[in-house]
Amino acid sequence: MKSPTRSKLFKIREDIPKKWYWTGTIATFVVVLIIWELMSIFQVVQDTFLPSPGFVFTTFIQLISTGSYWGDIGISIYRVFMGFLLAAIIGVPLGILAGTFKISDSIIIPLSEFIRYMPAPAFIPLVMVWAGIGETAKILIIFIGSFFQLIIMVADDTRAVNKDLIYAAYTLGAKRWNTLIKVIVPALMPRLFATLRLIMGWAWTYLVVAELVAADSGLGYSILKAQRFMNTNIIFVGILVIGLLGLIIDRLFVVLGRVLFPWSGGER
Amino acid sequence: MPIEAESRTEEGRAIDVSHLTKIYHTTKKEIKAIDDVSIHVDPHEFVSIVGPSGCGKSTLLKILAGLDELTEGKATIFGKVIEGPGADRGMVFQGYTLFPWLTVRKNIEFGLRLKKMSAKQKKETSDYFLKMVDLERFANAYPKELSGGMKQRVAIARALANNPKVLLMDEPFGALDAQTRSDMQQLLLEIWKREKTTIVFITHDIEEAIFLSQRIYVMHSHPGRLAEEMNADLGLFEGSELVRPNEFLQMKDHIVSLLKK
Repeated sequence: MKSPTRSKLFKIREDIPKKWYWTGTIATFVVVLIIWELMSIFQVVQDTFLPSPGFVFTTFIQLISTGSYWGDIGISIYRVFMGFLLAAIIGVPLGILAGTFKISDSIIIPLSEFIRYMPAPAFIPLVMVWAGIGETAKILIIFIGSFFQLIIMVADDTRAVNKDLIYAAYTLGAKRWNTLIKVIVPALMPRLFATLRLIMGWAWTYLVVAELVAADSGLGYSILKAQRFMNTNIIFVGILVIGLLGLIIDRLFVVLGRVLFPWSGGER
Repeated sequence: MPIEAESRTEEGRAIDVSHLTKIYHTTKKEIKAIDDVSIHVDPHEFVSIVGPSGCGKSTLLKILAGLDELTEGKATIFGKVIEGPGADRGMVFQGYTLFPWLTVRKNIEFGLRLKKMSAKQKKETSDYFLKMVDLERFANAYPKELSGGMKQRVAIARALANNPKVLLMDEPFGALDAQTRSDMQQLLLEIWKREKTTIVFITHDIEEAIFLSQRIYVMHSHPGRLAEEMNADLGLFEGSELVRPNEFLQMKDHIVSLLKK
């Protein structure tokens, strides 16, 4: 009885029933929670350093019933989206150009490759000199962190468009502009969407970096403030909320992708 | 004037290739892909080019399509020197090249949209070609929902809807299973007879070439050279049925022996 089930569940890269997949996922979360709970029950780590799950949960409820926490959440989301949108609006066209024309590649890619190795947090002091600690500064840091990566990834996505599609367009009478707009861009869309989803994740990371260093509002700032008073429960809530928001946005990307590109997948 | 005499013969030909040589330059050496090949295709003719991989047959077709450049020699279509790709030469590729974000109908209408054809005309044209390849029921399906054979049928319809002067086919049935392949050959012949399209067909399948074409060019590899030109319009088949098997086998054996050299 045992071995057929096992051989079914451990087939390399084959699908398993949805039920089993979700069982695995939920079990992991439950186990993590149990270990966490046990650690606080038996005082493996002091309460001050590791608050119990229950305490974190009540803190969470308390915080989200105050308006100021929602203000922190709101301003953080605003910063992430502004930085992300700015990077995407400028970076996506540049990436498409670089992936399409070799001459644009020579202008755009080497410089981007160079800059992307400069860590965004290292720019924070400079950004503070340039833009103070206002909204511009935070958005600028998120922008610096995601923009150059985005260009390089979009250029790769563009290069990944099957060249035969371009040839087919040519033999159907398309000239360069039409080939770019009517073939390369739509062919690229699902991959571009996946890239934007990844970049969005990074934007959250840079947000927290920016808010930890130079801010007087936002989720990152609330974490920093809590540290001063050893309110580890609030730190935990802050981290969890950032994680949850990221997860929600990520799922939205997935759902939106399915709605926008029903034709995608099953190529070849 | 010799030039005048030359252009007169080219004029009447759908395709005329004379002394075409193609050399690829890599950083280390030069590779001669095609060596001094001359072929011609008359209007409404079905011509196949047969040869092993590496004989330059696909490169030759790409040059005809304007997707690659020749190194030496001359290639014309209806007397006009080929300079880059154009809607006058439709192409069907071996791989699936349907635009996955467009429905079957929109794929077929792609070239028509570029020509800014009216909506009514587009609809009429795509209806006609959907019917021709027997895919009316799949007009609104996306390519990912189609089988390999259906995809190639759409690709043929898409190329023909554009009303090209010549249809270039690069091993279009190479990826299909045997049954689908023979159905597609049958369909292609019917379409050719009805539409009177000029077709240049690349294949490494000798039987396919004999079954489909009126004339066959056999090519050698390394470098790609012309081995022989032969007439294949001998009435070997009636419909899809082989009625003169001896001649068929003779011809096949002959081509096999040419390719072995």
